[in-house]
Amino acid sequence: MSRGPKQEFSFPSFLDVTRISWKQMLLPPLSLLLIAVTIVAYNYYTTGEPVKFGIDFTGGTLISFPNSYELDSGTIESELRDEFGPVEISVRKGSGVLSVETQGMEDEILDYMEQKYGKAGTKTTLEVPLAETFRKQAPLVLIAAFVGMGIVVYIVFRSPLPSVAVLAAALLDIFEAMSMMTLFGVRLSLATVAALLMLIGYAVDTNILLTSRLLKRREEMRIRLLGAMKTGLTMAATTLCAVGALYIFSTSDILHDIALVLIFGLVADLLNTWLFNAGLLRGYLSKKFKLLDQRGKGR
Amino acid sequence: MNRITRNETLRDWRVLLLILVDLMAILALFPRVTRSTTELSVTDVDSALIIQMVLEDAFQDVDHVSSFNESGLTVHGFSFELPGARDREQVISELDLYLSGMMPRGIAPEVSINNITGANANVTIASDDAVISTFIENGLDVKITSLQRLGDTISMTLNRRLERQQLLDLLKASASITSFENPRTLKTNLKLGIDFLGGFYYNVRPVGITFDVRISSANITPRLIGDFLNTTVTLDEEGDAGRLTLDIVNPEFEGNASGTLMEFVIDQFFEMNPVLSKISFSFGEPNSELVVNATNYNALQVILNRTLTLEYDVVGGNEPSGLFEVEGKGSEATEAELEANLSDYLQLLDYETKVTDETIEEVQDMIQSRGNFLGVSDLRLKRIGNEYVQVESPERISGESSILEPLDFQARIWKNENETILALTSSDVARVDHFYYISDAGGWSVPLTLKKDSAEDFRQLAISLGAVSDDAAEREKHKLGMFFNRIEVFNASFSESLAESMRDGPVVSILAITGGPRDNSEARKRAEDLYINLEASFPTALKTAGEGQIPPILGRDFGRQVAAAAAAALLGVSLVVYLRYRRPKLVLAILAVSLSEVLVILGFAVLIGWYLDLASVAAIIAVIGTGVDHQIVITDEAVYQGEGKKRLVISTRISRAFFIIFTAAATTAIAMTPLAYVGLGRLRGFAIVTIVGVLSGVLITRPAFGRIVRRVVGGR
Repeated sequence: MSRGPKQEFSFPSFLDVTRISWKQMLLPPLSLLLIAVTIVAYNYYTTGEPVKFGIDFTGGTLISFPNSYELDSGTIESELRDEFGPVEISVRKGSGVLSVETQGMEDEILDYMEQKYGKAGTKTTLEVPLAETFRKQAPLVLIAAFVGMGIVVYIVFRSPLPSVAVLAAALLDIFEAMSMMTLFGVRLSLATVAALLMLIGYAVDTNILLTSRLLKRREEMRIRLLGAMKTGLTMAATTLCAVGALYIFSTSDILHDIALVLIFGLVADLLNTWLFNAGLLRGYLSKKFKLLDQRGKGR
Repeated sequence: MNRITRNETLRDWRVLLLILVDLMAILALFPRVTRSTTELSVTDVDSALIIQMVLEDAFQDVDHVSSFNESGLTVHGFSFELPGARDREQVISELDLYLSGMMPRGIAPEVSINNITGANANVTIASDDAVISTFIENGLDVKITSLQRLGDTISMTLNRRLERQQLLDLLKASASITSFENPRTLKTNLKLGIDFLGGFYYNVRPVGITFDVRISSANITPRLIGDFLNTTVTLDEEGDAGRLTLDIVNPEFEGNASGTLMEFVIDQFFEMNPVLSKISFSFGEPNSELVVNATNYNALQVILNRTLTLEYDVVGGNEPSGLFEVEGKGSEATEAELEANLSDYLQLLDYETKVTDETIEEVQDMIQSRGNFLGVSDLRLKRIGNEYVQVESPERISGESSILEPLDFQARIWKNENETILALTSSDVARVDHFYYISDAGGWSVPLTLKKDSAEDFRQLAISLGAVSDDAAEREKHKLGMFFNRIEVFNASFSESLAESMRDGPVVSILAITGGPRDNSEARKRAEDLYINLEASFPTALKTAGEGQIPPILGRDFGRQVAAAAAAALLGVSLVVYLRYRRPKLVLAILAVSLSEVLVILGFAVLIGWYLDLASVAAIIAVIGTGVDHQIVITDEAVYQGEGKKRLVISTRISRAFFIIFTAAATTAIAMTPLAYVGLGRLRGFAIVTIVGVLSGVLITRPAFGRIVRRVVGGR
């Protein structure tokens, strides 16, 4: 049965953000931002780095133990960390090859694995002459990307507000996902950087949906906002389903990391788009129409 | 109320285009069933017997004497006969060679030599897994792509299809095969990167510097000539195309200065600096006039030749402004050093520790052709930043192989017992032919054709040292030595016939001998190295700035995992879509269109020969995710019909959805452009796939979806 035109607009009432004021809508995303800033600041204070950099950025030594089907990467990682203390160690496994990435004590780790598990490993030194280039270029790439995005959105909407909204959401999504990575011990590697970049696509989709529905339609504000939210939440639900499946069904640690970062980012995007940006746009629109009313031009 | 029929939908150009593109993608991918692997399990592995079989290839009368356990490792004792006299160290290195991969690293075999012909060795072995896998890999020339041990059974997958009999012949009684299978696998034209297959990467930097200079011939040339004549030279007139008229204060010569003498000295200057040329000289009292042809470019060449020891090339510039770009291949001179040498003559501008793009490209070509020559397939080269080239290889290419290591080749003649004189280097060689073994010369040889000038220089040197004298004893004292990376690998005196020909005139064809006898694999390898290095010589030295190994994540179970995750993701997405819209046809449409998107991206990857790496796969996931998002936007607009008088026709509603989608796609594509341009290590794949996926999505698949939705929702 297709829906009849007279059907009431249906929306679960507990998600109906129009029941609270636009200022109240800003509270949850702002608290998330506060938490994220705290995490990053604390990490910076204790380690000197805003996030945990993986071996892709820092260099180090990679030790591979082939034929290690029976070993579990998580167990070995915590064991090695207990044993070798402050040295940065991360353990991955794929196709029966256990890969230990470390920034020191490589001979001790080789001995330990040999003694305890009878595994003979081979080590490769990973020098990262590019880490510096990467750190130099990455901010430039990000700035160029954001400037480009801002210009496109401005051209389409002919108003600076949507540009700011889209950029802010993308930036906040990435920043908050990064802080969650720090909290959960996920290191910044090439794979997780890719995952963070994937968030740009999602943030752009949801926020352009929100701004174009809110600014370009003529229905009642509540209908516009809740209609956009309905679409947006469906989008988030499908994406979270897919990413959740990736997280549950893959045993590759790289895919795990990517899935985890996406989940962090998508959750952050829900708050940043449907509460933060939606709240700001609501405030902007209500002020604008109040002004129009006062001038006697409002309808 | 005209409902769109199924036929109308199918005949719509958007839907037809999607079907066409999908077909093309399938054609590009061309999946086919191949039998490219062998899977087998073995049990009752007798590693002692395997090692004995390996040793029997090298030694005689090999007997297994004993076995015992030593802290978890098995030690096997063997006795065997040595074919010739060898010392302990030699035997250890031979054992290392034959058993490498079977013995744990760092544990040398214990060897005792009883008499000249007999030896006993205790060999510690790594594990049955390592022993059997090394044995099979070496015996059948295959690679084991995965290996798993369950109790007594060792299961493995080989990268090539084998007959069961081949394995039985190799294993003999050392192990029994419990299962053997040549499974059919699906193979496509898709190329997978080392992220999936595992491999090595190397970051190399071509050594060199480039700098810009500003030079004025009108200032420099009078000074150069003045310094040479030890007098004052001033510029009288500057003509076109480097024509300078100079006024020379006649220098004080011993005795009287005559025009002829002065012209003779001036001619010497031009002989030393052949890039400058004299147009006319007229002697006068007290001043003479000299007209020269000296462009800024010429003057720069003179300065570079006289002040710097290495060779520097002018690679670009502009004559009128006197601005030039100079490249020093292989140079590691710092800016301060250059400044110290050059600042008297010219102005040093930009200085960078990198070679030019052309040189980097040449290096890349050479690496590729060396790889082709050595049979290392699938070398993938990428430029990283301004200075680095990243080489990805499925196999290890540093160390023994010579793909990345330039060879410094020199032929030197022994002047006396302690001293050699440089006779030839790689740059004297005009042509090189394939190496082969020459029994007359007693060694592996590389035929070289020398440049004409070099051949003459070589002849002069050989004659002056007496290396080609008609006295054999004299020739014996001045042998010709081949130096690889400054180490002599072979020497021999000139043969009677060669000596005679060289006395008569320059000889351009000579043989570079790298040692013998025929079965000397090192000499053969050196001949090969020399051949490759002359055939594909690097324009400059290379420095390896980092290397690493990427463990394979694509194994037996990886495909299954991805399939399981994809299936679960599809199921989840379908469920959400069904719960939201309650229309099964819509679920089918979204799944079909998403699948098309994957096909289009993969087809495109095949067409441009892109290696699928992890970042690209992440991008595909992202594109599919945003694709589903966009389809939901379209569906929502189609389903929602507005209220009362504001009801809109479906085409208007769908076009409103496309406004959102096009804007979002354009924004995402723009956001990825800087990354596609800069690359940032291995992230370029991510950016390119995202851009391609997003654009093909909005241009091909989503318009078709919009059409299909009209049919599913019912166009009213």
